Amino acid sequence: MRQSVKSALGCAGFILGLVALLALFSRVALPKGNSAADGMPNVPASGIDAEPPGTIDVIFVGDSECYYTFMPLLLWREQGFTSYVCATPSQTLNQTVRWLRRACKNQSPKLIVLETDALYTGINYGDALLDPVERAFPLLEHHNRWKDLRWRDFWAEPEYRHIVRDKGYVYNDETVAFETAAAAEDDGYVGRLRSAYLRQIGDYCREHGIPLLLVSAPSMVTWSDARLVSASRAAQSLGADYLDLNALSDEIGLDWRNDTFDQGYHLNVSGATKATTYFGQYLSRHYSLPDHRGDKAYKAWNKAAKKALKDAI
Amino acid sequence: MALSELLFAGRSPLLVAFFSVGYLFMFLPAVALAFCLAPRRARRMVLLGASYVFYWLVSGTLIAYLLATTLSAHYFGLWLDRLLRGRDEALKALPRDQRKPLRAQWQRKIRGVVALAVVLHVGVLALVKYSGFFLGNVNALMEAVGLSLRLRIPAYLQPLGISFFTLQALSYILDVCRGTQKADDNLPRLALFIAFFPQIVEGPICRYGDTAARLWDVGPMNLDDVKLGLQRILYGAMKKVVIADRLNRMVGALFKTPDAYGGGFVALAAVCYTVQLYMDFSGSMDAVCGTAQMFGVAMPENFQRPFFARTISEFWQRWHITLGAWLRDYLFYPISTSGPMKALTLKARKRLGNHYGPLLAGAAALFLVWLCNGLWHGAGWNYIFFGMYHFALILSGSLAAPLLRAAGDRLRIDGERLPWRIARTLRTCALVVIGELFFRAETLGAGLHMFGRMVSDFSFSAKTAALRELHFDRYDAVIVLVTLAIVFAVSLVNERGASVRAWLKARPTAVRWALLYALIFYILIFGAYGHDYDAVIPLYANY
Amino acid sequence: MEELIAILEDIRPDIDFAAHDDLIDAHLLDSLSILSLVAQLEETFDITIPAVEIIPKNLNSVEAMWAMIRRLEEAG
Repeated sequence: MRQSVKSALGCAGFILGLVALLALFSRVALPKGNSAADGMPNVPASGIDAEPPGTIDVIFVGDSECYYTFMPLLLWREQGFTSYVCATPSQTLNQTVRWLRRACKNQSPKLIVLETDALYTGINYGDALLDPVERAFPLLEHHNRWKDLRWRDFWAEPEYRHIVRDKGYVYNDETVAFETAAAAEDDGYVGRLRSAYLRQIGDYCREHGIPLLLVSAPSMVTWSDARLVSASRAAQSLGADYLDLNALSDEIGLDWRNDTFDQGYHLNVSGATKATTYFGQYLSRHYSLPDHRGDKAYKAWNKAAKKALKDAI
Repeated sequence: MALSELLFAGRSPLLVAFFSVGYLFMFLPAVALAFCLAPRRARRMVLLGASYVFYWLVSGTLIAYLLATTLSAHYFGLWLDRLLRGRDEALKALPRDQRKPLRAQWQRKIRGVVALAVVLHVGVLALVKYSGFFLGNVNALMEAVGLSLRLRIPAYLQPLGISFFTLQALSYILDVCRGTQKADDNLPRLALFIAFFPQIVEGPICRYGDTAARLWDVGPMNLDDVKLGLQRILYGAMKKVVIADRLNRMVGALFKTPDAYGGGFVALAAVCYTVQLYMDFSGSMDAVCGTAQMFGVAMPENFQRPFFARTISEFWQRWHITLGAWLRDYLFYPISTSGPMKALTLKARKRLGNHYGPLLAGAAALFLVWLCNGLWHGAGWNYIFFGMYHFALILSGSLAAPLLRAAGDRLRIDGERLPWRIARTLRTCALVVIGELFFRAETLGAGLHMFGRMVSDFSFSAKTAALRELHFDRYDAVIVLVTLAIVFAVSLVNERGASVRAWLKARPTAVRWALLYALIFYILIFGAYGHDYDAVIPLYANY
Repeated sequence: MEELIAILEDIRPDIDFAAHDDLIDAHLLDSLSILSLVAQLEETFDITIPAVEIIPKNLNSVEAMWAMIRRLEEAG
């Protein structure tokens, strides 16, 4: 009995030491700021950490379909509400949950918009298991920072001050026309894991009293009828609204020869402008969103919009 | 949703990556837990069940190949056993001088059954792996001759590990036929031997006499074995995740578009690929042996510090040892000591003396062995070239051996002194690296082209854009070199006969823990995983 | 036994056979040398060495080889 108790205690001790060291190394590995120089990944989306608390009205989450389509500064200029695009490349729904929580740490949005492409990026059980571990120990996510560690990383506390001008939108003004491309071939199936994460998103919004809107950004490549059916069904099960911008291509005025930079996969700035304008009008009609234009506290948005939209046009 | 989808068929192909979250933190703990909780008799069935679940999760309905191979091996074994016993009884009944013709008759029957078994198993393997290659070449030949007939090339899904478990099943059947192994009427025991999950992906190719009983009579889990096994898995993780996976993108870029880089980069690509291959394969083997050790099962080693070999011949006794042993025991010796070959040797020895005489039969058998070795790795002319390259090296080495020895004596050079040993080792490494260049090249033509450029235009020029494609900076180089130095140091200690693991075990707890923590965090920090890297399936899992 | 050692030294004069019990395991004898050895042993001692006998257990040391030769001689 003695030996097995000793062994059990030994193993437990080893694991405890491991956890302690993981926590220690994670503190060092965590980026101490949210700019690229600080080693923060996904800089456009990470700008949310630097936005003044309680100033963002709408949070967008999703993948590249989201950050190439929606322009917060244009929404500001035309409708007057503030928004931020917390979208990252190939964002999976488990990452969406984390971004939601991260965005809502300092903000109290009046609407959450989820771009539906994330529903169709698969998650495997290994990633799902790793998710809480990665959250607890940032070392796993940021271990590659060993290449550019600085002295600050060893003693400073994280301070997020880097404001991202375009509020998460990623600008692209190239034009590569759509020719022919097969629409998404899958059957729109959303597996058990993704459904579970969707439910988590729905529950989070419900608990905080924030309405949730699912939207499908225009794309010739990542859209299909099957996905339309499954996306609207998903929205229904979450008690969320659903808007399919693909069906409204004509109303939006999209021209797939000039409005895309990668043959119809994503919109370029011209297409994004059209889509955002339409979407802004839709949001203002269906949701009671504030109009901060003229409010001195939002001066920075005016400045940013003036600079950004001048560059775009 | 089809029933097979519902039951997770083929849903987790990433389980073959031994250092993935799925294998290391979900599958393996689940099996270990079931193993610990199982009563004594059921432990072996836990391993068998886990092996089939593993195969099902990775390859789905292709498990049919595995089951068919197992059943075939079982029934062929029993059939051969009956024939052998029948032969022995019939021969005993006769006086000595009348036995020869009857023995020959029985031998013909036995050989027929064995031939059938071999044709069936190798045939299925050939169909699944090589029909595309074979038919493609037939089509090319017809085009060259001007015929317009083209054969349709079927596409077969390759079941996981078929190259490995086919050889394992055949080794069982051949052992029964030669009398070294009695046929096993216990089907689950044979099934466990063939399907055991750690070794079904990439080997090692086990022998029935060694491994089957160890697996079947597996004892309770004990903490020492678990600790040693986990340590071994950790060490393998360092080799694969820190070194091999870090080199992956650079090697891939260099082989995909070799013309974007100067000839010197070809040499770099060949060296780095050889390093990647060795770290990946031996690291995976550490995971396999470590896993098996956790359950108290010893697996044969596949590597014995191959880059310390002084000749190519020795290299192949240290690299992928179980494959070499299989080809040697079931192909090389049986062929070179078969009737017609022995007659040839007899005649040749009269003419060419005892060193060169047997080389005739030896060369023929060796040719066949290397043809098979090359082809086993894949269906492509570059693999055949790889096999022939090593065949030529080994044969010429053997032919030249007496001359070199005489020259060495004349010049008073002792090949065993350290500077010469190092020189011979480096020469062997260089020859191996050149072979791997052809092994990895996309096609034989590409390999020859790359080799030509390396020799004719040895420069390190490349456009900046091309260099960026390599995804490899000086930090990466430092880490690779440092980790290689660690592996080299450990290998050196092991080559001298000492055991690093035994040394570690004897240290006080604080030192042991410190070293283990250092290893774990070394892998966590410097490992090539996460969103900046692509997951790399073990390189030998596709063979 | 002396005959055996003479044969071995003729094939590989550079190895001190008496001093090793790991001729196969230490990679001192390669498969082509073993073929020469087998051919010579079969002729000298008038035995037949089947492929199943060509294993490390029988070839790792001079003593092991001698035991194998005696065994095969008796089996006839």
